Amino acid sequence: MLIVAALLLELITAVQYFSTRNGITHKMIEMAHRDLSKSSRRAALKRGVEQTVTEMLPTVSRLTTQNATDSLYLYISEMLTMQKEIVGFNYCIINGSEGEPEGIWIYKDGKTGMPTEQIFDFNFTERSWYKEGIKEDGFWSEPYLSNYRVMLMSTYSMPMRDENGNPFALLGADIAMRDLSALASEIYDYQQRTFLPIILLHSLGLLLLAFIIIRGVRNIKRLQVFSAEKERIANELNIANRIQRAMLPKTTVLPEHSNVELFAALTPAREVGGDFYDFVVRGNKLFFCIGDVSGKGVPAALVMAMSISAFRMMSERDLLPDRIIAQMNNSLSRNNDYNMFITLFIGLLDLNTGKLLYSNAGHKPPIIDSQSLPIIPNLPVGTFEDFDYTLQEITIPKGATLFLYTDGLTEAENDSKKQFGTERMQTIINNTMQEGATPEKLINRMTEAVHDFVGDTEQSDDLTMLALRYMPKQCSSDDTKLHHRLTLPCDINQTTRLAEWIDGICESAGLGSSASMQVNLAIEEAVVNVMKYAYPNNSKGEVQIDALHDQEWLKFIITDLGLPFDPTTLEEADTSTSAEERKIGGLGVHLMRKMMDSISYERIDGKNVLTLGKKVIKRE
Amino acid sequence: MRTTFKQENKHLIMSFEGRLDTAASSQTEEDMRVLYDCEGRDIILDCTNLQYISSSGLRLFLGLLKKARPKGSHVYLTGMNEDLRQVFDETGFTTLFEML
Repeated sequence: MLIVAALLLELITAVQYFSTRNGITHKMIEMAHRDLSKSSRRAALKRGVEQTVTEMLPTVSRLTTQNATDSLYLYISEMLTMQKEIVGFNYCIINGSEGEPEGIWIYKDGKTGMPTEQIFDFNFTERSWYKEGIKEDGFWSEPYLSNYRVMLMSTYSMPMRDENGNPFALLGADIAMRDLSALASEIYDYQQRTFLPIILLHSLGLLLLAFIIIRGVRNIKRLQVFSAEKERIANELNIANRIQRAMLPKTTVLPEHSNVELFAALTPAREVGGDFYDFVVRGNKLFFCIGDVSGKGVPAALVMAMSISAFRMMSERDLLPDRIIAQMNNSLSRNNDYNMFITLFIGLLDLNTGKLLYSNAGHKPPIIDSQSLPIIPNLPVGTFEDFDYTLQEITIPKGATLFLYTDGLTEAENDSKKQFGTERMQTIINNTMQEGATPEKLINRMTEAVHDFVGDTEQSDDLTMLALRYMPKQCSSDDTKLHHRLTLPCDINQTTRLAEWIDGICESAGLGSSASMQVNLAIEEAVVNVMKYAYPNNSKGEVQIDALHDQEWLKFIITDLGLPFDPTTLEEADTSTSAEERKIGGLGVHLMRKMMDSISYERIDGKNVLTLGKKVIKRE
Repeated sequence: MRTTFKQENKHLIMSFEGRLDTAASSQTEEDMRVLYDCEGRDIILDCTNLQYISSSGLRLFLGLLKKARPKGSHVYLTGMNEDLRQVFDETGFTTLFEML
């Protein structure tokens, strides 16, 4: 449509151009012929005008000096009616009543041909017929357009001079450039003959143009709405991308004592994606996970956000990997109308021993050094409610690297649809391991290798990697920094050691024997509770006791990395019941409260922190 | 922690010496089994040389009481120092046992 309209417009313009051009060319030729025949006639005309002005000048000059204006105008008018070729006379006095030049044009009226007076009401002194006319005796001006009649004129001017030769007035005679104006009108005449078809064609073209413009504007408007919408979505996706990035751990730098070097990288295929990883150190434990939500883009991103926060929440509760996966599975399966699922691997590494507890939900087996980690695949999260996920265990040898990845790595495709594959991945791991490189180097190298492999092919899936190397250091002895710290293994037979230590502290804090016994009792109860409840079923662990004291207070801070256990919420024994109704239990907590002056519990960074305070009353 | 057991005029007497803390409680529990066969005879727990007792110890005392009382036996406590007495008071144990 647009092309047709453009062609049509082009055609119309061409027709008009040629018609005008033809007209002009035609008339130019005609005029040239006419001019040849006329040139002699024109010279005669000019001479006639010059002669008339020269003859009139003495009379005009005399009447001017006599100030006989009426007679002067009458004389000029008379002369005008007699001169057929002259269309008007310009008469000016250089020193008018205001000391400025004044002038009048006495001309033949266009309709009646009668002499008419028109006082110049514009600055005629700039006109060449005046400017040059008062200098030269006899000056023909270039043709100019009259101010009062639609007519091209040329003026012959002569000044009038006093006895000193200074000009005091000017008389000019105008002839019409009839030839020129006639020429112009003849061109228009020619054009008028072709006018109607051209106008019609023009109208048609304009109509078409209007139609196109209206449609175009409508399309532009639509496009504007569309691109505004597109921009909005792009903006929101950009924000979503940033939010999603912010959900991932901000740094891969782990606490110094954590015995682990770790690095992770996530490259989404689109603005947002369904891959995620997370890790957190709580005490001597490292929780970590890698996951891949089915699908891509926004739907996957929403489930990813859900999953990562669920993982974080449940790792805070110190649940074991299989329990975390089971709970995530149950909550996702229950409302899984869109059949989204997640492949997920969760690990829990004991940083002191290298023991790794892990559970896998349909995720690719991680690589440990040059082998796949033995895994039971189970099912992806979100498939079947109440599925029983298996917990597995392995001890990671010192210096070993664990490499976790999503299928975006092995299934990265190049333009010939070949996949990166596990072999390439394994080769890079092996080479990097041999150099003893850091997890960061391993991941950077893997990223480079994938980029080299796929080349310019568009990334089709999110790509995520997490690597960690277990590097246990010699135990740092924090103990020597704090004088009053005791670390006990989880064994109730250690309470004797505890008692000796407490006695020593009470002694140095200046407590009496009764108070010492009370403190002893309370701390023993607290420590034994930790050993029983935070580390149930004789599981291994440690309890750390710090003692601080000042003039007023003696404080004990009992810290452990066991299961969350808050003794302050335990039900206390009812000490008023009879022996038969008496329950065995709850006495310890009751005694802790009775024997001490303050007690508070906090769960900080995966640690149980119980603080017990005793007011210091010095011995006499 | 050391315990001494003796029978005297139809009484069963057990003396405690030292600290009855959690560490000591399992051995002490074993030692106290002999008192379960009281068969109506009264039991005297001599705490004169008991320096310290924690809830683990108190539980042993309570366990004994629950076993002995249905058999018609009384359980008496004797010789406690002030600090121990306070622990028994705080836990309501002084009202459960009979004091000599």
